[in-house]
Amino acid sequence: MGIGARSGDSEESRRDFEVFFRAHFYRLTQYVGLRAPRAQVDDVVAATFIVAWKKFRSVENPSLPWLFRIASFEVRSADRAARRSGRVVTVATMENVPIPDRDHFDGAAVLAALSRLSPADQELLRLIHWDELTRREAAEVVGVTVNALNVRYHRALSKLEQQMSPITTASPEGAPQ
Amino acid sequence: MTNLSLIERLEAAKPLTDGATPDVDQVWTSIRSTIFTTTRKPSRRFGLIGAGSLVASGLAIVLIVALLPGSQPPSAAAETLHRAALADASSAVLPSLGPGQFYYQESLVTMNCVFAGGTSPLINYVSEGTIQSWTSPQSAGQIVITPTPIDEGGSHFATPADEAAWIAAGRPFVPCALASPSNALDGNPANADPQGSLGGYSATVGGGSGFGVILGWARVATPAYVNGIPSLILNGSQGAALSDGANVADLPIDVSQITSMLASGEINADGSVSASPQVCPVNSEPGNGPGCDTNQQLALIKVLLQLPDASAKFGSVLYQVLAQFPGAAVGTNATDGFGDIGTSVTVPINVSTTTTGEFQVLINPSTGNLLSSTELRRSPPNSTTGETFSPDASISYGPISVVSSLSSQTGSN
Repeated sequence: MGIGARSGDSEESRRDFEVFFRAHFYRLTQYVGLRAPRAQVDDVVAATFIVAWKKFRSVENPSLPWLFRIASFEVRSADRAARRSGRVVTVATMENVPIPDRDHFDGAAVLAALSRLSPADQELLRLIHWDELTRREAAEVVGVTVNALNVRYHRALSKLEQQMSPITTASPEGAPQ
Repeated sequence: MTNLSLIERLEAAKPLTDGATPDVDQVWTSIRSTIFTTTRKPSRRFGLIGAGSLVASGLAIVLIVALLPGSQPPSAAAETLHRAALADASSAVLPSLGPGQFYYQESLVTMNCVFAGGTSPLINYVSEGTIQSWTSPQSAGQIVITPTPIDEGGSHFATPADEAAWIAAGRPFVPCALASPSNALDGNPANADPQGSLGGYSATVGGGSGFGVILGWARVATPAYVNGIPSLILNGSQGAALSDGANVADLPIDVSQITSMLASGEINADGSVSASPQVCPVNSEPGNGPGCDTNQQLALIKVLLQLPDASAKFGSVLYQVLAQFPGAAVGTNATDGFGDIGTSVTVPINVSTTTTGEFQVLINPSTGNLLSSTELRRSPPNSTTGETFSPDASISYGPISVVSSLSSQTGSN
């Protein structure tokens, strides 16, 4: 038996998993690529599929959001391992490097503002606007109801707008909107 | 700031994936072998590392997140590169090597050979091929050069007139065609000076101070067949960069430190570090004092970039190091040998005593990943108006992986 293989694993389930793998491999690779250092991406993708295989037959509807949810844990796990080994470059480190005022780069400003939000808020906005998930799919990844996600999403967007504004940049996160 | 809405700006800030997507079949084969065929459940740590290494063989270790045309304002190129160089710092650390393991990289190379055939004028030949390299801090490495045969696989004479001159001269040895059976060095009557450093009447090889230097080793290399293709294998004793202990592990990532060490000659051609300033390890002349001038520093960078671990490590800081060279400029988008799009950074160089040109690196603007290095020759020489630049030598860097033996990627004829 392989990693995670259990008695009763059938050729059919293996074929199903291959279909599942092929259907979602590229989207998962992109998802991980936006969240993990380049050198960790292949490991995280592999680890995600290994975990997915372990659970594959026990979930009712293996889906892309379900896979993203597994990957989110693997990304965090890889990040913790990297921090323990002192090999990670944090956003805070990058922000310490001054960017010249000339040729203002809008994308950098957005990314900087995004980085000042809470990790949960960042992830919500990335799931919907970078990973192009529907609200329902994003809710499945995060593990909340669609209604709860909608509320959190709008709050996160407001916070991002606040961070983008020079006047209110210094406002504490979570201030009333 | 543009007039885009907040959501439009947020979505525009997303790094976009480019065409360098991994081969799903190859990755599936690796994944399948891990989860279906392993007979004993390994530890989680082993599973992760093992599977990751397997995936790495099919999945470009560089998960390229590229800037596509139009996704960001062109005026932001400098800031984009600056940010990218910082972003790539996290990728500067390669996996640690175990006993007997090597960093392995397969890159695409283009070299321009200029040689003479008897009394004919200089002949220009453009060689395309691959360079496989194995390096390890613990043991001697190896480089395998596999050019495509003459007039095949992209290799070609620069012009029909060049090919006609070569035929008229009796088909003398073409230096950049290396061990091609149809390209005899010894016993070829057309080679009036077979003891020349590169064989035949050869004069120069493009990028002689950098990429082309490897062809200087061709005379001492071992002809071999790799996967049935004539190739040359260079072993540890045939180049400083391949010797035992060659690595860049001791080099700092800090830009100012690297800049200072380059200038003082403290970085050797094999990536090792000198404890104190010394005569420049490359292109030094008798009587030179300690330190490297600009051209020597560039030459050293080009030599170092042949090492896979150096291309990874330097990728994170190269833009910032080069940006401090006189005349450094951010250029337009270009495509490397693998078809990946990057933003170019160029530095003026002297290709020869009579010809000027540019050293160009292509950097993925979103990740800072070093895509390629190219030496460009100005044509006509030293023109300041209406000039064009043609590649003299170029390397497009392939993915880096960890392998367990020197011969794992080669085969015999």
